[in-house]
Amino acid sequence: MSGQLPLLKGTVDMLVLKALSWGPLHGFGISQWLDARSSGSLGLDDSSMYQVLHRLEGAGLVEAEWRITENNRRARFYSLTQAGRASLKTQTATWLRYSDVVTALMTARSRSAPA
Amino acid sequence: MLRRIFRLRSGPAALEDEVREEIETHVAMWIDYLVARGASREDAERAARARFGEFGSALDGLYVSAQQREARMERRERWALIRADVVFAWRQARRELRFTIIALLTFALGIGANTAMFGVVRGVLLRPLPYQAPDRLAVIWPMRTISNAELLYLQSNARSFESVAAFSPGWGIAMTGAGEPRQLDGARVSTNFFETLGVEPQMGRLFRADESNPGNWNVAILSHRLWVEHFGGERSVLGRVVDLDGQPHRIVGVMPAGFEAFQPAVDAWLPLQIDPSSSFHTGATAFALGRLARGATFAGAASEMATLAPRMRAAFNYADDYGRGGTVVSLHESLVGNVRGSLLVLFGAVAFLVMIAVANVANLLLVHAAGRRRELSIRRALGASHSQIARQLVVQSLLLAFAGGAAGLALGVVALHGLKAILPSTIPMLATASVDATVLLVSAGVTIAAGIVFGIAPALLASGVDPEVVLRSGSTGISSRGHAAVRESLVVIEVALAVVLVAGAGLMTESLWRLSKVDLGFQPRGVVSLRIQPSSGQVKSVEATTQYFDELTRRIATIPGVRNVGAAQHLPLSGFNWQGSLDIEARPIPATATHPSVVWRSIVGDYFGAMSIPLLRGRLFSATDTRAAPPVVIINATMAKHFWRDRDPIGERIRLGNATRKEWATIIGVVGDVRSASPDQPPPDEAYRPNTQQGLVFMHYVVRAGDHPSSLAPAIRAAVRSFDKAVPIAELRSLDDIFATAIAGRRTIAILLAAFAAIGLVLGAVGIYGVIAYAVSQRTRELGIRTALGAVEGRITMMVIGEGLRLTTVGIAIGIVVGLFAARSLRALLFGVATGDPQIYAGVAIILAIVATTAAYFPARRAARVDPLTALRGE
Repeated sequence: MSGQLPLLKGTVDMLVLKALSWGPLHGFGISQWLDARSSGSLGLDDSSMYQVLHRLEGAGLVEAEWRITENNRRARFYSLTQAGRASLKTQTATWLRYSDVVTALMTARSRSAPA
Repeated sequence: MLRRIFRLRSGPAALEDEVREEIETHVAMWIDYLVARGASREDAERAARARFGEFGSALDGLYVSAQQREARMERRERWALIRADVVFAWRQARRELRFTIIALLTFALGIGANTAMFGVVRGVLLRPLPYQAPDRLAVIWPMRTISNAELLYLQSNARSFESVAAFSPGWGIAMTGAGEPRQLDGARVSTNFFETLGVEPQMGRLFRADESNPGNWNVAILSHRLWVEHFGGERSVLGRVVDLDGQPHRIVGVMPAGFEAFQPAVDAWLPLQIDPSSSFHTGATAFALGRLARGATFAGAASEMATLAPRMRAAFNYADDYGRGGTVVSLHESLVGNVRGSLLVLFGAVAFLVMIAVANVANLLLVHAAGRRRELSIRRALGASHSQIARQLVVQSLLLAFAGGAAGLALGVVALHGLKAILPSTIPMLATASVDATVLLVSAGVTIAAGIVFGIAPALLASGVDPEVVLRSGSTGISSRGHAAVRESLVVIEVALAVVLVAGAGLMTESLWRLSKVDLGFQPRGVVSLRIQPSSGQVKSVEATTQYFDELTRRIATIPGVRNVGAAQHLPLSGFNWQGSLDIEARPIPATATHPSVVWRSIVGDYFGAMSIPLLRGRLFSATDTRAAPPVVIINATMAKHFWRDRDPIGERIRLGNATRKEWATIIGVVGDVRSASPDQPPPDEAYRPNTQQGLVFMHYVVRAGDHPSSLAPAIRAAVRSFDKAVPIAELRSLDDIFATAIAGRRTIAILLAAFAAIGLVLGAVGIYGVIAYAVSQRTRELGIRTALGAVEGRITMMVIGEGLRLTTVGIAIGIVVGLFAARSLRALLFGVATGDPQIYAGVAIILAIVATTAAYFPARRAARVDPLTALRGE
């Protein structure tokens, strides 16, 4: 697993919330989505992901329910609560602003501010 | 939250199973996924497990985090429930603003009154005195003063005490030579007085052991107040020399702010002047206090005093009854014993008020809950549990209690200030009363207890509602018999408590009225009084004193408008009555018998004229009754009757303790009686002597003028100043004020009881109104039918009012019985009225009946105007 990126603190919470934003999903689904969308470049192991899920559930940002998958397995499905949706929204906005600003700074070509 | 409803209550083992199942499913799904993408089963399994790092410990970690998750969720859900209840209660409160405000105000009033009164009771009665180990401090022979000789004897002989100190109150001291002349309230104390109490000065030092000796006693310790007011709070005051009664005194110390012992508002403490060669050495002047020695008890000290008394009597040649009834009591008891009764009466009244308030709020909530039976039934029908509804009602009541309690505490702090202002300042330690931690705690406790009491009753009644019955009946809710009975008994209790309060207030007011009508024996209206104490240099002899006061009297008498001018060393009702032991020449008293004690006054000028005390027989003093002339005395009617029955006392000769020294004085006249000790006590035996033969060096002048004597104050001041620039003019006030001060304690209690009674009446009225109004709203249908059947408007009104009166009558009856018992605690405070005065109780019953009728009238009128059509068509 070369080319892995170090994970910034707090971003995993945001990513997990994002994974659930299209509807309920089990742990495997989240893990697979993260893997696929990042081409495996996020070095997140599955036990950390479950710990994040537990924390989010404890904080009332997600809730969980046992359901049957299409392959007839019993799995714990996670979905966003209202508070989770709101939290995702603010976290996304903050992250986008932050990354815009940092990107602009890091790609600046001269020290003087653009006119 | 839905998830939790479906899940069974699970232990830690179940939680572990759940976590393991989830992870195993997870791994299985990865394996399926990887196999589907062409991996071998072994590789897929290894890869899926590798995603967890070290699989076993990862699983352990997940167990822990799952447990934390559960704990957090539970906490969150509990809070969410409470928050929902509070939000619900808040919305309810806002929706029914009038109900909320009435309940809040009622409760705040109760808690406020309770907080303020308890603050006083705690400050004065319950808090230990602010001295070192105050429970070891004792007053020796309370109510009796001891001489310097006795003090010295006790200090060297009493084994029960670690130290014996003395305090002589009420020294008026003229301070000159430091700015404006000023009359100080002083006290003389033994040099070990402060050490005995265990207090330290704020600055400077306490008295030294030799500072009661002749030549050393010209030192003074100032109160914090005098230091700040007169000396600007400057440190340089230490060592400064001021003239006190014309003698230079050195200021050696300043006591801390708030220090108080025996006499409130002392300006300066001076040492006792102990001179064994003085003729005053064996004259009683001071109260004795002691600190119990290690291992000694009050009882032990008292029995030691009983053995010491005969020895002191022999040593100092005292009368035979000396030492009789001598006791030793704790300092705290002796300080607050007098006021305890009054304060407990007031505290009891406040407790009644709190009970009325709580009953009222409980009633309001009950009526309220009854009105919500339909709503609650619907919620029950929709699946809310008994406990959920009960919890909501309790939360609502607690919220009300807390809001009301907080408002009440604020009210209490303000009211305590008010109380301190109107209670007599002679109550010891009153200045230190405050809303401290204990008072806060007690008030908070009362609040919570009340909140639970008036929350639980409605909750029990309301949550037991059977939804089917209420919903089917189609009314706004039928109240069960039990429910109505609870409400009605609450109203009965409120009325009964109000009766007790009103009766107490009535008895006190009647006592005050009788007191104000009492014939005092003198006429205070139209008289101003003032205190004059020339410096000792000006009045070195009896002749000089006579000259001084004669000239002063003459100058005041020439002021236009002044009718009579006279003076006595202390005025009636001032709290000071000097006593002397009586000997009658014609009837020698055996050496073993007790000498009768009579009050005596030394008077100047036209004292009897100024006070309007009539001469009944014989003559008044004249200019010829000088120091050189034979001693003369005038007695009052009570004394004449007491000792001479029907015979004429004029011409008899008597001796009056230190008032007449060793000389026999001839009775030349008899004057009218004066209630000089207190308006509620019969006149004592009293004798008057001319100051021309007595030579006392300070006088309280009485000046009788027209209707507005106070307007003469500036002229009187000017007249005194024209004669003596330096003499302080103190206590310039109308004689009516002295009378007012003498009954101030009773007046305060009467005012407070009247205020409590008024509040109690209003609350009681609110209670009656609430119950009747509710009953009317419940019976709209019935009343409509009655109207439809031809009942006259007036009849229905009377019927509803009659119901209010029925409850009130029961309340009045119970209240009178309770009141007769409660009034016994007032007995010591009453004057001229029995605790069971039938007129008072009849009056109280009438007042309550009027209030109840008024309170019931408004709902009754509404009842009479029910439109039968609307009533019958509506639900």
